Amino acid sequence: MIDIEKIEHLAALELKEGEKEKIQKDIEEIIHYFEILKEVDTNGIEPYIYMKGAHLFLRKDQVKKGLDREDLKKNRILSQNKFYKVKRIMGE
Amino acid sequence: MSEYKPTIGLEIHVQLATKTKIFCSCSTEFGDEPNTNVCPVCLGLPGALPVLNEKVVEYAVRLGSALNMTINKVSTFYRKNYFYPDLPKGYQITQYAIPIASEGFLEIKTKKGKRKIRIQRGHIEEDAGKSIHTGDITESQYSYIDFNRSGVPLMEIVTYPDIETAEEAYEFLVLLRKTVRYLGVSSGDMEKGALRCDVNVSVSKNDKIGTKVEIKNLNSFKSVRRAVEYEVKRQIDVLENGGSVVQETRHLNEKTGETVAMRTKEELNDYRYFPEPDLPPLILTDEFIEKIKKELPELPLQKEERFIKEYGIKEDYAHDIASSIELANYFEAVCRATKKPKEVANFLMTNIMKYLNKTGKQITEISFNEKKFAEFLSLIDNGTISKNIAKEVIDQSLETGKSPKEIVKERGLVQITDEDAIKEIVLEVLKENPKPVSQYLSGKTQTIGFLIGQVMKKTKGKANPQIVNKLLRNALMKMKK
Ligand SMILES: [Zn+2]
Repeated sequence: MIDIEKIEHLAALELKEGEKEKIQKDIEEIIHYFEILKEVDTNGIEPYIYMKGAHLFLRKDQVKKGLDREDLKKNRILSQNKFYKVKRIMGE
Repeated sequence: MSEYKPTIGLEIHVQLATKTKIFCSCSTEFGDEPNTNVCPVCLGLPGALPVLNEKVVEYAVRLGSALNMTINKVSTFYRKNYFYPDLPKGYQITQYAIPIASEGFLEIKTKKGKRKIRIQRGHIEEDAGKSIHTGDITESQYSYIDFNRSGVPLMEIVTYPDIETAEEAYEFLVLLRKTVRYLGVSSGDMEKGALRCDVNVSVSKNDKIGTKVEIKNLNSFKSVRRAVEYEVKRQIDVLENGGSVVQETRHLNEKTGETVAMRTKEELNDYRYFPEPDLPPLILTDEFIEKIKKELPELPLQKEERFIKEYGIKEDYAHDIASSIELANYFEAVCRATKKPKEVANFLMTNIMKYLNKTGKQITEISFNEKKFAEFLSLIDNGTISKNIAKEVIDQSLETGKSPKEIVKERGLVQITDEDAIKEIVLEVLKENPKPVSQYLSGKTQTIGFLIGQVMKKTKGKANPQIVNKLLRNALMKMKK
């Protein structure tokens, strides 16, 4: 059984009562597929995490100008013309 | 009350002093206009891909090596998932399964002697943006986010819980800061957030480690010491009163010096780490690692010990001089030019330090260079100026930027070594002070100090003290007969 309430908190969602059962069922079904996969014997086989042969590309430490703040303003809610405005953060 | 033993571990975030961010080419400049050093990668815009900065790798290997750590030839990146407004992607790219460096130590010096503090791991990751609260935090409806810091490279250093006192925690941090500065991998400025420290504290009467409390976001060396001191006492009090310590995150109230539990749901967090699909493992060659190890500079404690051995200077002077790479370089340059390390250390730690503290200047900003220092010491050596006057000369030279010779000439500070001239003044003083003279003659010989003082006063400190002493004694001897 999955803890739908915990998932709700971690995903920062607010589910309505009806949705909770539905999503819980969906997620459990998805997880069930992994149970099926578990039947395969993977002993001695290395986990396949990264594409074979993929190698990490490194970048030189040279500054390039990024996005223009004026352009960002057009697309986002900016306050005082320079910050991103968000709902008040508690704590800290 | 039987003995409680505190167990303390540190997690330190070191901001690496690269020009650009860890995964994009945005500038890392501190204090730029908000949201001007941003791009799709560090704003977490859809489709943007991270590309690792090679300098971050170099700096991390350098720091890891200096902390006697094993550099892992393969290390992996993970996503640490959580929601916070300053984290635009909803996850932080960090290293989890295999960090770039693991298992090392830093040896600190405390009042009780040397202690090895083991280091568990060192991993590279990206910093988050910065929240800015305007007005009263309890009233303002909004927070404001500056993403200039988002994606600035960090190396997180995690120690084993080997630290037993607030003093050791403090010493560890101080030495770590010196080390990162020596290596040039970070400014180490805590007030600018380039060094941030979380502390884990527990206390126990036996070998079993007690319940761990984390104190987050300590932003000065003093705060770390205060937080640890307070927290150890608090936990002992709780246990002594029959209570039990709750595992929680606390923060330090800078005003009261107390630690306070944070009322966040953070404990509920489960970061659901998983491999970062956009970044394959980082693979380092032996040649790369060896090259960096070979190029490591001498580290603070090594330098301190060499200064004591090589130059024969006092231990506390060696410690203070080696505390800053600039100060150490200055000291050595002057020693090369003068071959007089003890005198150099003396004037450096007194007159020059006083001047630096007064003006807020750095050693690299003063015009009193090794040439002027050499000139200055030779003025003392060849008897041109007395030791007393020397202090005035160096202070004036620091203040005005003029050379010591100029100062001496301008102010007529040349030491009077002419015996006839001094004799004249000696006789004058004897005449003017019949009482001390008769006291001296009747056996109270300590009054000679007063008489010497009078002669020095009349010559404005310029008379050679040895000659004054000799002539006074001679004159008094004659009077006795
Ligand atoms: Zn960027």
